[in-house]
Amino acid sequence: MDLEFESYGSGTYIETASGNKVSRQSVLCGSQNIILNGKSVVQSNCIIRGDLASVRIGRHCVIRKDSVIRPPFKKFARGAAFFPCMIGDHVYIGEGSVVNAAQIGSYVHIGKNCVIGKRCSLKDCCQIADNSVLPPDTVVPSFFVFGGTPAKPIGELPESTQYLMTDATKQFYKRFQAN
Amino acid sequence: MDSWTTNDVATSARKNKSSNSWHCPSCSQSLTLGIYNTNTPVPGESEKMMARKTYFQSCGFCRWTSREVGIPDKEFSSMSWSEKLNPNQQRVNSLVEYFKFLSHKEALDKKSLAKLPPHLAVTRQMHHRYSPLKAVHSPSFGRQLKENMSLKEVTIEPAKTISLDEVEKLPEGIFTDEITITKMTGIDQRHGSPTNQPNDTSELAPYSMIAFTKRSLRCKACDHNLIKAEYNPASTKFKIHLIALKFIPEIRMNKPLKSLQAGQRTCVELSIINPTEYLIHISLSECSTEQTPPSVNSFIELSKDEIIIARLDETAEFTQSDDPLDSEIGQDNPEVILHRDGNRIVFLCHVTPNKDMKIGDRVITCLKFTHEHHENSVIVSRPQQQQQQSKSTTPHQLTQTVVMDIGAITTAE
Repeated sequence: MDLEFESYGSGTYIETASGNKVSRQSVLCGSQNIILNGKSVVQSNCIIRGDLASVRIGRHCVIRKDSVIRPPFKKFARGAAFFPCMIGDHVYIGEGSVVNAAQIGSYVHIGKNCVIGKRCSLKDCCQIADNSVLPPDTVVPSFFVFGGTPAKPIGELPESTQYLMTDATKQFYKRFQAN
Repeated sequence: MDSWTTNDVATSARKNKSSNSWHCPSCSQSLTLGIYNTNTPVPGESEKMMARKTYFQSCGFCRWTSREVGIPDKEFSSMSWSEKLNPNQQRVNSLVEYFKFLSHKEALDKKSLAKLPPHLAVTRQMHHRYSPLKAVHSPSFGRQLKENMSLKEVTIEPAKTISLDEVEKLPEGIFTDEITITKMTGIDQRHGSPTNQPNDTSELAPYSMIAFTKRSLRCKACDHNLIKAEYNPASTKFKIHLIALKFIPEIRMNKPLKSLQAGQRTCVELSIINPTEYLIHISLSECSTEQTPPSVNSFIELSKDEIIIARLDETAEFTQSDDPLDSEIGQDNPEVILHRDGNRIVFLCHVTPNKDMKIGDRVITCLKFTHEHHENSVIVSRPQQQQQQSKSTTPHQLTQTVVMDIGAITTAE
């Protein structure tokens, strides 16, 4: 099925020069450390904690409402240090998800209300089902669907996932327009 | 699985099992290295303390650690952890060896019993009798010698049997003693290491992770490799790009239907996307009664017009021209084509679900479309084709049958 058209009030979103659409109601802490590579959508009530460590988000990413992106930290003998959080291209993060992962590859689909634990590593072309919890330090391999609490492999993705995700995120961006 | 290197998986002595990645025996999540800092006295100087790190395994989810079971800590992070030994490993190994010997012997017996065709048997005899040098250097003679020599006799002791009288009797308090449930392992935990199957939590040990392998697919008709399984865990690219999405136009529903009623003619919007680099002409048709799959329970009405779809233009994202690139696309019939956007069009069709359907039944319809296929794929190149390429570039017509589930019946008649 094709994605539906979604519209927003013309004043509620900021459109940057590189085509990013960021909601005015989102909270972007430490915006100098947050890099959105282009044509990404950040919806309302999102929290991106760039004040802890740098957050790099790729092209055509979609971050839906009420989600939180927080860089992970690691405890050392002399205190804790925050790692940068790298998110690839064409990534879809569902509503209400909390992402503490250190690295998310490209073409990844994260469902609604997920909790991605600290220092997790999601490789390219994987999927996290809705309402799943990934324990810290989990590595999600490519072409797998993880789900449940704690998340375990529950399914596989086809080889065409890259094209499907590219197509879906591009279509979302095209259909997300001002009134 | 992806933190492994290619070497770790491919060259591991135990097939597909990693030597570095382990499952927690308690919750089967992956284990990480925990670091514990200790102050140990410097040898020779009892007053000074030296900071030292020891490494143990710990689970991020259930907080199980290797210390709970008594596995000693390692001094260096690169030291490898070993799996708990299978108490029956020796017996299993000797059984496997014996089985290999038996199968080898059977294969040899079959060969020797196979009769030679009569005209060759005489020639071979002549060779062996009158030209001994040739016989000795001939490959078949050498092979025969080798096979006979490699067949060593392997014997095995049959498994010991115990009579019922010798079996230990159950202790008296087995049904009346209190059980500490927290110290017993669950079924999932026991199945995690099937060789040991510990009953007590103090015997739990981590078990190594098994690699997920990538699929490899071959074409059923011509046996050509479609997807090669590669052991590079970090790569999502496939060497051969033969995904159908890139050659065959995709049909999707444009919008979900608001209501479907049995027996009522409903307007359905479908979209077609042209993934190829060529302009294509699509003609739609209904399936004949013989070709219709049995699950179809509705009647579809399609337009007889030929639909032209522009080619995929990857630069369209960056340029802002609205002019159609191809002059062949004239004015669209607004009753058929609702919307056109580059290589994608939305068209109308009408579906009438069967009258005997009830609320909640899925409405399934079927249509056929014919499109052109340009065989210019660089990957699928056979030597005959390369000669013919310059001569003919006419595309051939392919027909696809599409079976769609357009929704459930929402209102009764």
